[in-house]
Amino acid sequence: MADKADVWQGTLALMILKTLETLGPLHGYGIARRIEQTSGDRLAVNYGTLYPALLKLEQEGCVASEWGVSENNRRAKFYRLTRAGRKQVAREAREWERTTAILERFLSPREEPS
Amino acid sequence: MRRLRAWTIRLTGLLHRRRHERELADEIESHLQLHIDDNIARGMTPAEARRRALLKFGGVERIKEQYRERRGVPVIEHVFQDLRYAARLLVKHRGFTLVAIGTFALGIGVNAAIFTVLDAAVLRPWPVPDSGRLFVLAQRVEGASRGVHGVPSMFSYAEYEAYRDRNHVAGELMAFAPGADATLLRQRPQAIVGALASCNYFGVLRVRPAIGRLFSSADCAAGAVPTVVVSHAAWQARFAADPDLVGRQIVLNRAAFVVVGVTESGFRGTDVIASDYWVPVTLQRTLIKDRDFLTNPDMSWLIVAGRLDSGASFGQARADLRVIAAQIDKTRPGRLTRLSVERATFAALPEIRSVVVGVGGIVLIAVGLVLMIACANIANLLLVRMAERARELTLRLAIGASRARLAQQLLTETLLLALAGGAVGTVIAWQGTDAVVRFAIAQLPGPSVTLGADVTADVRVLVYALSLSILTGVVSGLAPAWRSARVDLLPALKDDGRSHDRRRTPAGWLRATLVTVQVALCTVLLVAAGLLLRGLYRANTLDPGFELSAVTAASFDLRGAGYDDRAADRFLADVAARVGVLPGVTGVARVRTTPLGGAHVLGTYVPSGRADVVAVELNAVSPSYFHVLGIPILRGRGFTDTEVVLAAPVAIATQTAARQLWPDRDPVGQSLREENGTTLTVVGVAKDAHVSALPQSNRPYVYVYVVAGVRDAARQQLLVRGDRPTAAHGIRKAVDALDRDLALDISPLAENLEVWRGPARVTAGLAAALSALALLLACLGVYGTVAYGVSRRVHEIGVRMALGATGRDVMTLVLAQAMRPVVAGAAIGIPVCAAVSTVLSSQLFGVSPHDPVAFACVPFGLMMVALLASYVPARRALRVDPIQALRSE
Repeated sequence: MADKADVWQGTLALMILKTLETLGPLHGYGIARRIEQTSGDRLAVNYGTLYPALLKLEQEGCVASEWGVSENNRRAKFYRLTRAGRKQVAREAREWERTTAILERFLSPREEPS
Repeated sequence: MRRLRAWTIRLTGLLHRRRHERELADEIESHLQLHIDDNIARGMTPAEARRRALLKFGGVERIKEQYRERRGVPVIEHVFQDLRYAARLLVKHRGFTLVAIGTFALGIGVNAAIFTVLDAAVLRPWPVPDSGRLFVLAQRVEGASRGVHGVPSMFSYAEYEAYRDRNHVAGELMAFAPGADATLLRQRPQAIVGALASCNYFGVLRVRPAIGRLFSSADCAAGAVPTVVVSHAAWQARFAADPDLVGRQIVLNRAAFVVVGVTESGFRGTDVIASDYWVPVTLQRTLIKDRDFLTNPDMSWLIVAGRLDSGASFGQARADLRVIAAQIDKTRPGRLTRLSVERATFAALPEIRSVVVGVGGIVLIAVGLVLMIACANIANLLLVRMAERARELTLRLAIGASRARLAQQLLTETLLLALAGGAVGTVIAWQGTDAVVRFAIAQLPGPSVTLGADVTADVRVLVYALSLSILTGVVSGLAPAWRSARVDLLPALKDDGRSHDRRRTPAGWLRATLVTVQVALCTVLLVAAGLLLRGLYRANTLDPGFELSAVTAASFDLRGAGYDDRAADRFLADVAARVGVLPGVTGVARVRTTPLGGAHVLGTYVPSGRADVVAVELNAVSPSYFHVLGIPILRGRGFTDTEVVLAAPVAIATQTAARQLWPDRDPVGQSLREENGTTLTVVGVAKDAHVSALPQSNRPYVYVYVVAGVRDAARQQLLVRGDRPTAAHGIRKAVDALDRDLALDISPLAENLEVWRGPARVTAGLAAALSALALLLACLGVYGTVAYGVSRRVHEIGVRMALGATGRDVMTLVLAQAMRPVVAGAAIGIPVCAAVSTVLSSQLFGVSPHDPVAFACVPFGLMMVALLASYVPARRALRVDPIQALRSE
């Protein structure tokens, strides 16, 4: 458990958006599996928590959903990225990189030539 | 932007709840199926695959709840939930609901009704198009002498012209003089009320004609043919809606006017009293003869009003007009004008508004008290019901509802009741106000008039009733909600929510306090009503000290009809002579003012033997006056006809005047010196009679004899004693023979009593109705408290009876406890009422504002009624079966 991090709302939203950007339209279960796999099973999260986050993204207009049929012929709700969503991914990714870069300097202090 | 979008979607998420709910369930089910398929593909058994999938998903219900909160707006959903729940509960407890809604409806209804009247008079603008931009000017002039025909804040014609012609942004100004009485000559002369108006009056107001035309500037030009505009209501009532009226002449105050048009229906003028006609203001001397207001620059007689130019603000108009006021002041050294711009309402002038607001304020306080009693009542009922629901409430607390959430639920219930009651009350007020106003006007003396203002509910009244409903809902819901936050969890759960043998339930003191407050408020209203009823009784039974029932009064407007002093004198003598010889008539007298007629003449004199000047009320009467009214002369003698002819300076004093002016001397032979030098010698003393006011004021009253002339009296009066129909017929015949066109007003003298009794009836009736309402509400409160108390103490009563208490003991116990807050309330209410009852003294006709009868009988009666209200439910205590009560343990 120690090496598995909790997932908080903001990062979960970014992960969902990134997943949809990479893989195209996908159902909730698929998104959950993908996030788990990408994290190398280091992220233990209840799949259910995904749905309120998806609802929020949909209300904000980043994703759209419609019912479809999965590869093994199950009825499922598919989510896809909207144009606003695409912009949002780019923006949030940039912000995230900036944040981590700053944190990086705190966590591994190295003398910068100034 | 994204936030806003999310919120709109969330708000719409409040709708279609069921569909969203189904879709969520579908999606979760599909998610689980996909996961199970995967797990089976990895070689798990179906059961294991499902278990794992569920485990990985997390708590389904918890996720659903998170999802729901995200989808809608929880606070709003709670409100809807509470409303649904409250509505279900209220429908279930129908009796309680009806009582509560009825109580709210009565309380809010009377308040809305009173507010409707005040709104129509003070707040509502004139009923003409775009009335929000209309304004009325009012002024206060200092340092200059002024004549007043109306109220002092009105304007003279010269001032009106200055403001009209010199302003730049205030727009077009019009002027009118309200309350112009006139005699309309049709088959019979009729008294009507109209107004003198500037010729742009209708243009500024944007009133249109129903037929014909309204005034144009030509009607106000010098030498124009006299014209008149008739109101739609008068056209229908007095001219039978004759379509050919336009172009005809009508005769007002003996002058001919050509009717040019009729106003559109619904327009009743811009004065408190509806106008029947309008005459150009420039024809003032034609309509009101012998008086010249037009050319007097210091005569207050016109209301000046205007419509703001588009683009200008009230502030700009005020500044603009004040410059003109300063210019006027500059031409009159020492004069200082304070000019104000008021919104155009029926009571826009400060003098009128202060009367309406003053009287309205007292009535609003009274109905406010009724509403407070209603609130206390509801609070009490709710506390009782909350005690019954203690189990439900504690259970909800125990399974995790927050106390705030519980209080919100209780408040929602009360608010729902208050809103329902407010709706019913508003309907009552809407239907009833007009009838009440008409009743009140019908009680008042004088010619029948209609109100210019339209007294029906409008949006403002609805908003007022709505706010009042919310306020009362919150106020009456506060006590129960506050209690709910203090419910003690453990004991309440342990003993199934009933406390058997605690003498006082926790909310008991709160309920007792509410009853005390109710009874105190009720006592104030009841004692006030008691005083007013005593006053009314006094007014109806007071012996005025002179003959009323056998006397007929006739009054003539000889000055208006163009008589000079000699002609008037001859005319009155002729009428008196013709009527006096009729069989059944025993006397005819001339008077300056009729007894109790509401008119007073004051003079200032220096009495002999004293140096100070005293104000004396006086009446000029002919020698036969004392005989006609049956007032005996106690000392000295009455007037003689010779004295009248010779104009001898003599007077007759009343007993009170004699006692006050010459306390220890023989009044006969004393004298009164007028400040201009004439000295009147007192030749007799007449018995006191209530001829000036009911009861007689303590001002000294003297009689002088009538001198010839019409200048100093508004109307000329004759009093005829004898058979009333004979007298009335005789006067009419005599006047017809002498002057067919003279307007004549004949009435029994006893009608003058109505001047006093009418207002007394209105105030006493209103107070009695309000306090009856208050009493009913207070009794409901007492009844409810006792009934509940008995039902809670069944066990205790059973024990007492098992131990040998008799029914009498039990009854005494219950009643004593019930009456404690009632007695306390009455004890508080009596001194409070005594402190404020002096405001009623003008309506009490000599009954003291601390009248012991009212102050003793009313609380006693209240106590008896309260005792009855507690006795009825207390009887249930007697029917308690000890065995049954003990077994239920």
